[in-house]
Amino acid sequence: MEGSIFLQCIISGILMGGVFALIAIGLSIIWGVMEIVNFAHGDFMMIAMFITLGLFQYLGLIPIFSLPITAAILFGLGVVTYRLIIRPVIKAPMVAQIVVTFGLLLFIRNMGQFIFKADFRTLPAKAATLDGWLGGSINVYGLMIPPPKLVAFILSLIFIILVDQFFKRTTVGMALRATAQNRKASQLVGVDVDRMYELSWGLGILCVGIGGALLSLFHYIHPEVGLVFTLFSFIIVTLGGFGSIWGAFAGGLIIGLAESIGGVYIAPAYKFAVAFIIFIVVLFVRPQGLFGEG
Amino acid sequence: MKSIGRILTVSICILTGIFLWGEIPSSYGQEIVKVGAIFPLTGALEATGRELKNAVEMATDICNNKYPELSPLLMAETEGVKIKRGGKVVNAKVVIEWGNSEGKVETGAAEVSRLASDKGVVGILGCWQSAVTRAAATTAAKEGVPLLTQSVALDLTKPEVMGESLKWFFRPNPAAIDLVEVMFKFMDAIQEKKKDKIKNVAIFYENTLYGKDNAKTAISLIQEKYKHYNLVATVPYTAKTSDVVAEVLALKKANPDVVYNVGPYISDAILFTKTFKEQGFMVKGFLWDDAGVVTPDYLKSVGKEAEGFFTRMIYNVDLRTKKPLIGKIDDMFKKRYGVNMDDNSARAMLKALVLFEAINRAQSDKPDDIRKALLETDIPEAKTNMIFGVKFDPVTHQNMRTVGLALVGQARGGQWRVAYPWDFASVDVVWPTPKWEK
Repeated sequence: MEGSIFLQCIISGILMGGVFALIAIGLSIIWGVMEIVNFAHGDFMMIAMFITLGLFQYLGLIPIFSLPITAAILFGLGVVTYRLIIRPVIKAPMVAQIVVTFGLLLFIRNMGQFIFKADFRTLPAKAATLDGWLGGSINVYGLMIPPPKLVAFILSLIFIILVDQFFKRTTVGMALRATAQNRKASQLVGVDVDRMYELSWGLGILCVGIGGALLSLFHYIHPEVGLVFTLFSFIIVTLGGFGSIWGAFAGGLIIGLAESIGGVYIAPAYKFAVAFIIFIVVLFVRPQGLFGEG
Repeated sequence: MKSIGRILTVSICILTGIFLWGEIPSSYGQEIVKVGAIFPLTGALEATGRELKNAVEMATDICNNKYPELSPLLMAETEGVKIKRGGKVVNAKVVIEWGNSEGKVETGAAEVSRLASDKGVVGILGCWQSAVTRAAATTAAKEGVPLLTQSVALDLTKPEVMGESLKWFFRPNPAAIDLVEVMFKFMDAIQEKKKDKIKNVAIFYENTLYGKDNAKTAISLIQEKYKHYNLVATVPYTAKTSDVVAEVLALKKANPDVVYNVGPYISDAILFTKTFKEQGFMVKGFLWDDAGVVTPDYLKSVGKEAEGFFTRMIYNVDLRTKKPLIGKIDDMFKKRYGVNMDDNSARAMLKALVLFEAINRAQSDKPDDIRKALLETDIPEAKTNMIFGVKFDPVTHQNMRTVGLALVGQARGGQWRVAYPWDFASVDVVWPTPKWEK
């Protein structure tokens, strides 16, 4: 029993960590390219969850089919947010930028409450099980692997690989990396920095949107759901290293495992404390994060 | 240019007039008495706050207008409350001044000050969350305004804990001791009825005042009175968390016969229910402690996953078969708000009616007179919307007429039905909990 509990912690920690990572990667992209902290990050995730629910309720689309639509909507939302809200404060002091994204957080959250009310919702079973494709938890020698979380983890991993390859192998991806490294030099070589910023917002919000859509397979949907995930995203991005995709992935897994193992073997009430202690220790030893550049 | 100036001046005057008109109470010319009500009207607990608000609104309407069909319910045949003004006894309408605690301790306390000082309320109903209520009670005592609560934390009516705050603090519904103990009574009874054995009990709870207080009560009951149960685990957790796998695995490790959550907010209850199924965690009985699980959203969200789960409660719409008045009130509530009353809304209505009755009996809008009237409250069960009357203990200000009067409900077909005590049961209890469906 003891061994199986420990292995279960590992499995659960990894599965949840993968989803945390995808949500955090969006923040890493925005932060990495623009050095702007998006306090409303988790609230965009909330929007994606409601879109996923809505697409099922009104169009009958199960999440695996509605994912591209949700992604497209969130990408558009990211671009619009950049143009209307972020671009005007690009050259403003950091405090102004923080206030703007914090204001965005309050706006999105309260609009969410106003439109959707603060009722708790979950995806109906038909949607959460992808129209019955996903059955109950898979029992592997007593270890439980819940299909919705497994699917969410696999899709998160696939998407993280795609994002990584996009940054490494495409011209646009290289332009984004160049902008992140040195804005002025990028401009000199002909990169349209404003377009890169717009793209980073679109991509960042798209990532958190996909994370939210996958999270809705097994999590409740509520206008306040984003808060704790925003906090985790900051920790994961800092832990993994700013602007590092695989750093955010590693950070997500570390936080997932810390919560899971720490929660069982120390105390559930201290599971966040365990994650935060690891975060502090890593920062102390390596301030730029695990995969960040010095 | 001059004409533009004139137009602007006239426009501003008209707009100001409209604004001021909006500020004039619709009861202008009618005597009014203001009562404050503080609930979590925004934030994660808004769904519950909305229920509570609806219940207080309806109680206010019952008080302010005659509803002979609800007789003999408190205040059903009045048209407001009687108060002395200028040496004469006049009829005054009760007006509720709403406060929003946002689910936060500091905000709840600040709202008490605001309502008492700025709005001049003569009494306050609040705040649902025990931790918020505790802080609000301190502020209410400073402001010299009675506060009636439905929060169940035992500490709230302990003189050694509340100190001077207790003078202004009243609780018309049962405290945690009765509510927590009913589950142990149920466990004793179900073993006899179903010829089953329960030995190992695990307790899990959210780690603010509400959960901790209830957990303390549950643990002391096991240690002092229900020694035949073996407490195999106590698992505190942070409320409104992102996932509860660690908590469920901690419970699984302990291998209990039953698990008892003594402090579930709805968001956590939903996550726990889903994670129990996901982890294949099955026990003989999943026991909840009311609060978030009786909010309609809980059973709507988890559906069949909660089939067979239990909760303690002090109210259920099934009680209409025992007390028809409960059915009449519930029908009216459902007609207005689209949902049945539940434990939360019923308690909110009770405390509102008790306060209005005290104001009416005191014939005063002075908080101290109302406080003294509350101390003399003596309402028979027939006049309440519950299965108990109201009489406050002179020291603790806890309603003495609730001892032993808690129920256990079971989730059946998406609704909470009364399962215990057997005399009140509206369904045959299913035990043990049905296995998870694939």
